[in-house]
Amino acid sequence: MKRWLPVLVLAVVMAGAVVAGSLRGGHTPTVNERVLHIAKEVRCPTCESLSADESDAPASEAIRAQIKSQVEAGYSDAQVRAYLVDRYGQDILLRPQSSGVSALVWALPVAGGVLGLAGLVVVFRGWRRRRVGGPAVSEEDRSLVAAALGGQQGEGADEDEELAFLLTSLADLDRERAAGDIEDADYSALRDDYTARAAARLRGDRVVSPTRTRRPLRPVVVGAGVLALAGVAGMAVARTAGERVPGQTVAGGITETSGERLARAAALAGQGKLLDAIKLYDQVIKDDPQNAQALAYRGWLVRLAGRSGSDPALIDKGLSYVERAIAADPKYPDAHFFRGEILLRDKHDAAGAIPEFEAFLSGGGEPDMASLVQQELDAAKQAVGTGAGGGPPGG
Amino acid sequence: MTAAVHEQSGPVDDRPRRRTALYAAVAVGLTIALFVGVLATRKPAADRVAPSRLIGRPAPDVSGPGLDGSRFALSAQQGKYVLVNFFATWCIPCVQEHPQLRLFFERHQAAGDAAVVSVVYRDEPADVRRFFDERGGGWPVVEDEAAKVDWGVRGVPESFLVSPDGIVLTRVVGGVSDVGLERLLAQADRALRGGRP
Repeated sequence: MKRWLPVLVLAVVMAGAVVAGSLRGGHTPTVNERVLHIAKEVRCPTCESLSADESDAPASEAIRAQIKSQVEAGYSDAQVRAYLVDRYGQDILLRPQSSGVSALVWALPVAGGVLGLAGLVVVFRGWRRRRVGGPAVSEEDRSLVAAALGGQQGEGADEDEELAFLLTSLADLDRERAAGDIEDADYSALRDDYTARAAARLRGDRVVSPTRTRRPLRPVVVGAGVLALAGVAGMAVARTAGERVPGQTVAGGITETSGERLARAAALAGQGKLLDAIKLYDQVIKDDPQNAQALAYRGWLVRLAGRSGSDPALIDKGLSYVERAIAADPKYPDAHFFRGEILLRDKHDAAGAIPEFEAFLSGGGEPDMASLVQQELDAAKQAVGTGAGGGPPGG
Repeated sequence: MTAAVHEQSGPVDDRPRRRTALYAAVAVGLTIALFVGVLATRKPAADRVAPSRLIGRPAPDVSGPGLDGSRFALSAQQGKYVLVNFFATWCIPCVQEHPQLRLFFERHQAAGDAAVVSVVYRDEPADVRRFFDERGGGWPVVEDEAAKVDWGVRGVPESFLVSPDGIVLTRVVGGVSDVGLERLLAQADRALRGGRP
């Protein structure tokens, strides 16, 4: 009973904690609290490792608005989650559901933990049995070994290295016991083990002693235990490891190349995250102040921001970056298109825009863009022909 | 204390290890070949068809005020294919795909067999109006907040082809091209006709 007391106490404490936790009362959450709670569990569809609650991406904004309207319409949290899964797929949830195939994600670590624990128990019990129980030693074994010890290391010990080792170990064991260096239980177990093995050698029996008998299932159990523990540890690490924030790479410490940054900036701009994209272009420009692509696209995004906020100063700033791009690489076609577009649509300088669009078309710009640029060139020529400065402001 | 025991060891046979190395090499080789194969057979970015939970299901409605003030409802468009296009004026691929959408729209406007509707994705109405004034495009442009999530849209541009009986057929992520849309339409037409007696 004394042995089980700590286990009993632990079980009572844990059960008490579970009951106390489940009985804890709380106030009825408001609509905003529920929206926040659900949005925290929903993945931002266009970000990495961000919830819809944390992200300001347009898709996350739309999801938050939709959650709010459904909560206000009386949907339960589970119904809202089910709706989002229905539209985006299971991966929209940051925490996998605890039903269906997804339940495996929760069940497998638990099963792994139990299996690992069981494996360890089997292994430890085996070790204990070996230490405490030891092999069965007959009286014949004891007298055989005693005779060998009395006969100065025994007959044949010179040729048999293991026999010599076992006899020496037996003698050492007695000395350690006399000196009080070993407990009685260990002494008995080891003595029986050495005696049985030494007797087997003396009889000329080369079979491994009973304690060394291989149990076919043992490696399997140990292997399963180790694998299960590794799996559980892996899951635990994955769940508790720090999350990446936008701008960080997968490996965290590895520096992104300019090309990767430019590609990511373009993707961010495509998702409407202009500020994030501008920050990335700034990083590229910091490393390489003559990077025409970063300069041109940074300028273009600033110009877009200037237009949507009707801020002429921002448009001028955007133009200055585009002009820096042209100065850095006069053959970069996109910069010419951007300059032409700003001159035509913002500065009403159609005559100035024409050579820029022509530079794009003759400079091998993106084929997908060619028809668009041709349109803009035609518009600029028409404006010059009619005497107008430029077309209506455009995006 | 002297609790150590000797381990008996026999001659080491290295054949299994060699075989393991061979198997590992074959596995790595096959994986690389598969990887290269997948990458080599991927469709180009334009008109990339992407999976969606909505495919094969009735299209969620798109309804709301249009640029001209009239009310639009996708449910009223049955009887012809409809391309539901989510876009924004600040999105460069959306600007690039616009002339392609125009070509597609103008070809099918006369025939009356397919229509286009654009759904505004976080944008200013004035910018959208200016965008269409400058670049043309006579199809309905609708403001519908709920549609973005109802259609599971992750970014712009994204387009969905809806069948004449209101079933979502295809989702295209990224800019569309006139040629690509015609191909999708032809495929859908063949599938629909093949399914009918």
